[in-house]
Amino acid sequence: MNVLLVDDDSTFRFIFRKQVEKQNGLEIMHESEHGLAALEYLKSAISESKELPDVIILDINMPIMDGWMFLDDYSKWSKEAGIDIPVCMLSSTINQMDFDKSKTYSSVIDFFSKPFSSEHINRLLSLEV
Amino acid sequence: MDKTEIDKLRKALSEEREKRVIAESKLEASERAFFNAIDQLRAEKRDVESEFEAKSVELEEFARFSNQSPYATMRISADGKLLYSNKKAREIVRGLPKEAQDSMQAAFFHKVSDALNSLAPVTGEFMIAKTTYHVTFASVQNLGYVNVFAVDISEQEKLRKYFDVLSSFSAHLIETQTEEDVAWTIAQQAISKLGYSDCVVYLKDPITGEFVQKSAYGSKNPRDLELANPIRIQPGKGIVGHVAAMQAGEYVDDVRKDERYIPDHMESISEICVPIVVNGETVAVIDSENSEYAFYGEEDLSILTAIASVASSRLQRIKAIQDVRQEKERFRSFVENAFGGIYIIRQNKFEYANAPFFEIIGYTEEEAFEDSFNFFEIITVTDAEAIKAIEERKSGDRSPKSYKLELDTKAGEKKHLAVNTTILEDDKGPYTLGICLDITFIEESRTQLTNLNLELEKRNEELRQFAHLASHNLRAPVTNLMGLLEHFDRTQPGCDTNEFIIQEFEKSVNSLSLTLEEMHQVLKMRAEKNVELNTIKLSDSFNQVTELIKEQIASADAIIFTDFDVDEIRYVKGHIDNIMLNMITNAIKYAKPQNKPEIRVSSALSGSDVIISFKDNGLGINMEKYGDQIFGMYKRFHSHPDSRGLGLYLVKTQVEQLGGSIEVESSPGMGSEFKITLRAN
Repeated sequence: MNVLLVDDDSTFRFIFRKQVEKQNGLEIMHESEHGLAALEYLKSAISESKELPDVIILDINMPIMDGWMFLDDYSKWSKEAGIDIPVCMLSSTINQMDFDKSKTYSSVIDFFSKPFSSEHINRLLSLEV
Repeated sequence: MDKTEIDKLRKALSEEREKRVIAESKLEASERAFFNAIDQLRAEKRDVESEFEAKSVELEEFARFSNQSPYATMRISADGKLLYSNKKAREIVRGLPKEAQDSMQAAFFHKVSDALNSLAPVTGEFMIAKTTYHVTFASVQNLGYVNVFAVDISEQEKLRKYFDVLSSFSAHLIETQTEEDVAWTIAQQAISKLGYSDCVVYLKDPITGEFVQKSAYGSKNPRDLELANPIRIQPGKGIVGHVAAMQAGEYVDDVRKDERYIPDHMESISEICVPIVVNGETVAVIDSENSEYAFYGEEDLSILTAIASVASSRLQRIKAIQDVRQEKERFRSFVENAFGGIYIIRQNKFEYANAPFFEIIGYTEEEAFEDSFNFFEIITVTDAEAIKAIEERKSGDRSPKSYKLELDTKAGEKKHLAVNTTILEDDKGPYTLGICLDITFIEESRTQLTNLNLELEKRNEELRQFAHLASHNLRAPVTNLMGLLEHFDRTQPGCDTNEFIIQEFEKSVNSLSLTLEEMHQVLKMRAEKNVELNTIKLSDSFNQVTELIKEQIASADAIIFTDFDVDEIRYVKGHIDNIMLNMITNAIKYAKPQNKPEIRVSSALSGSDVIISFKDNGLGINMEKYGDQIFGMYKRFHSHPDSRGLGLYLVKTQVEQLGGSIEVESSPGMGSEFKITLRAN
């Protein structure tokens, strides 16, 4: 399963990489520091007819374009582009409002709270996307 | 003798002659008048003589006429001798005691002499054996005697007296104003008009039902109008109580033989009691006692009953007047002491308003009643309910309406009123009855409360956000630390991965420490209440701040221009330093990578406010997208390693704390200008 990791925190990205290394089944296809970079990556992948990720792991609190803005833009764009990559939220938030808000986006399939664990990877793999 | 003297004499002579002519003519006129008068007198004398001749009849004829007459007749000679008396006259005289006969004779002789010396008959009224007679003495001069006719006028006299007494009572009762007045008037009139030796009036005590002596004239109250120790009579007790209960007057010839009689210190033999009944209730009793046996009779009962009836209607009227007065007084006192303002407006003019009303509107009664004063001019209507109600009024709706108004008092104070108006009508036409309450205090409290609530809600929301952000920003490095720890290889302490993990560990710990420090800053600033104002120079603050970050400025190769139109201000030193630091470092941080940062810091006066402007040539901000989030906590719009999203939030909070504001003009790629307005302090 190929993932696109969108998170501005380099330390977390390191931890994510380490965790993925330990377990089989997940491949990090690309890492983006914020939503805009992720969108640009997806757009260029399509225009260059490259392989697209199976799932997008999305942080919320990011500079330039945070998780919510990304979801707004992605929802619109993905429909036009005719793609349907599921999104999995991954944040250190424990705010119920953030959980509720994520459910309003049809592309969001799950919500993981940091710290990231092997259990999260198992859940991702079981989603059979 | 010269000519002038002759002329004088001639003149005197002619004047003398004229005077004599006038005197002669006057004499002639008076002589004529005199003879005329004599002729007149002669004629009159002839008439009188012929009349007397006609009336002069023989004694036999007189006797025959007299015996058929229902009247008492007599003929008395000039020397007082009784020449003739008819049967009726003889009966009257025979019934009289000797002394009465003598005094009657003396009185008659007196009248006979008068009649003999008079051309016309002489008359007189005589009380003979309790009977009043109207007596006519007609003289027949040349015959030397007088014919006497006596007519019994007792009934007429009684009637006359009855009406005389009654009208006197009525005249006095009409003046009375209180129940006591009525009682005293009856007692006093009974003495003076009815010839009673004593009279008492009892009034019913509405609480106990007792009859209490209210007035007394005569032997029972010899001194004055004060009753030191009034007699109280239980209902049904004594003759007074009995009469009150039966509601019918009564006279008793001998109280000693009446078992109802309550003896007192007076030596009374006969008594009369008459109740005064108002609307079926005995409210008073007139009581008179006398030391003579059978002093009172039917006549007394009838006149006292009539008086009681007059008194009854008077008492009723007094009660009605008192009721109306009491009602009026109660109403007046109610209106005057009402908690709210009460007013009557007719054709846009005040007809009445109570004292609380004037207190509310802040105009005196005199001012408000002036023609130039229009109540509606001081009113400002803002309430939708009020506008609706007033519109309905205009279209003829008279039903009661309640709404809120605002008005400006004379002193220019704004007041809130709760008003209730009703349209009523009297013989002068329709008018508005208004009741208003001053609810300024309530309204102001409400506004204050609403504002306070809004402020609290805002604070609450900020705190909630702060709590979430703080928890997020704390959780993020902590979860990182946990993750890093998990991947630390304890079997190979010095391996490359572990080295990297230690580095990352340091980054997370620093981030944690920075977040804690920021939280501390935010909380400290929020808790700041009484900030100290100083006279400070913007240029001083600028110099200190740029000295502090000189390395940052140098490495960015930034150029900063200043133009402090206003330099010296009164403000909080720490706030100004913080503004300078945040705005300048922001401008350097968000510079275009390929450009040298150019920053212009200026100040200007706007009214009494000071505006400080920070203008840069940096990246700029997409206002459409992020305009409402720029000053939010932990909002970052650029991917920059030092960007933590707190600086602008702190600046805004501090500026607003002292009543100022911050605004921004920017567009992507065109730089930004932040304008901070500081309130004059």
